[in-house]
Amino acid sequence: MIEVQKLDAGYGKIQVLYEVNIVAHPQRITVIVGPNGSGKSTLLKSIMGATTIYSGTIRFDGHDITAGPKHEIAKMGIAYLPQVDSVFTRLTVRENLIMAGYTVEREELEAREQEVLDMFPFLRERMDTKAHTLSGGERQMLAMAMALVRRPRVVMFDEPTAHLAPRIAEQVFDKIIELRDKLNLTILLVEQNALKALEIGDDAYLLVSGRTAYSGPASELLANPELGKMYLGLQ
Amino acid sequence: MLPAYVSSAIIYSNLLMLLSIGFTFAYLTAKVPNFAHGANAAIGIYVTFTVVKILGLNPYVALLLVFPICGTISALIYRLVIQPLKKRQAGLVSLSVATIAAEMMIFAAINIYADYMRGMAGQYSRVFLFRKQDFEFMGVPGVLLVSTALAVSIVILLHTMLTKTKFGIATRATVENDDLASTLGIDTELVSLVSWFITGGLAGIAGSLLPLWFQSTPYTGTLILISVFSASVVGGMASIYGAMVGGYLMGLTEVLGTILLMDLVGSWVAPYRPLIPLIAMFIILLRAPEGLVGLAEKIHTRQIRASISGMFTLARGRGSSNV
Repeated sequence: MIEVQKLDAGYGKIQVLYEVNIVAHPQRITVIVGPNGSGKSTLLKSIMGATTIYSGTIRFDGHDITAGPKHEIAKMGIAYLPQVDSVFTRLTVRENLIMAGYTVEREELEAREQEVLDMFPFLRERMDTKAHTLSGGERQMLAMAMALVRRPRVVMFDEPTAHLAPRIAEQVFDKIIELRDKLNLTILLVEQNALKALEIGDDAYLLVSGRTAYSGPASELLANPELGKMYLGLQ
Repeated sequence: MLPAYVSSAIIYSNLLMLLSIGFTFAYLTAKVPNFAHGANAAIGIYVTFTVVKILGLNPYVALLLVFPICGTISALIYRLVIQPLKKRQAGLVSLSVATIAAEMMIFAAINIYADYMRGMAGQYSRVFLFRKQDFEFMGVPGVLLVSTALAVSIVILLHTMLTKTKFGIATRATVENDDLASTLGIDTELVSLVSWFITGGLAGIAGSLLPLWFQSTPYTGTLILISVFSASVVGGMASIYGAMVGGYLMGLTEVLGTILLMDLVGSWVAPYRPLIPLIAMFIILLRAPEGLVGLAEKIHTRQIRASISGMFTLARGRGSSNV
């Protein structure tokens, strides 16, 4: 479980988040939505230790991880898939998977790779090709495969369907549901496609100008015409 | 027996290539041009001086010492200068100036050491050349054979490390996207530190071989930085393979170009030799700022686009014939 309490964070002197509280429960999809510039991505980056934290705490299963080194937070079992550049384009698919399992022993990594390739079989034929030759959707799937190699307990997605065709985006959402249901992962999902994200989500937070404007069940936010219309463009 | 200018061109190119690989590699991992890189070569020069003049040993003994010595100094520059400044979010200019300051400190230390050695050991330590201490094999100077063998084996070793080892792949990953690399559990600071150790060691090796063929002074390291910087820019700062090509090309151009100009206009032109790498860098920055490797990639991309558009034209042609 990830608990963020009264978090004030930003970049250098520019504060983006103000007293943000969120809780991501195990085996649930927690959706974070909000207009552009509301601090959604900053929240995920803060959990990963990649922003300036002014005050507040971030806990993972009771351990304080506030502003911890990124590689240490990753080792604890939190995987983060950034909005862009989520794979190493100049490395091959195989090298990307090796990097994903950087902290894993070699034999163990090979076993995990096989498991992941069973989930994403198209990658088997592309193992020795450079990642820049993959399509946007394929790269997103590779990014997910890279996250799963580490057998994380939490996966944080930052706009995983941005720039993807609707059909491919649908496949990405299906995979996210699969991660929750089959692998019992805790999912934190930041998404511009608020309608679809709230449909698959369990819990939801609405961020507006760096502050929490709503917290509760995703279905209730979806059904709230006022908030939906004002901030998310939902009709 | 090889003409002296051919030996000069090959030896200089071998050493310049090692220096350029190091300069580019350090830049790629830490995103900072290390202007103290030439100073590391100068340390290598004075390790050879100490081995030959003070300890009275074979100059090649220095090769065993320079890698750990210069590697450690380079790693210390990263750890004590670059890393703390980066943590304080220093910009590229501040970081570059910091490496220039490190270069000045090492340069001053080398001058102090050179003067101390002259006073204490009675050795002339400000200008020296150790060609007489080198060996010859079938009329070929030893430093030519050793520098070529080292340049080839270091390139192979570096390529193998970067493509076949987990740490090497992690280095390439850090070069491409250090943010993503760190979220995967890669200690990117350690990658940079080790890279700076390697690059310092490479500079030390190049420096230690310089006095075996070229007259060396405390200023040699600072002066050679102009050529190293130009070679890296000509190769394209985005790839160590570009630095290999740039280093070799620049080395050959600089030595052979100077000899050609001396033949054409007279020996007075020799002191203007550093202008050759500067002019080469100037032309590359104007015509192909991404360097030779970037240029090659651009041509390759153009060829792919041309073949794709050719396929479309063919397909359209077939389509119209069906109609």
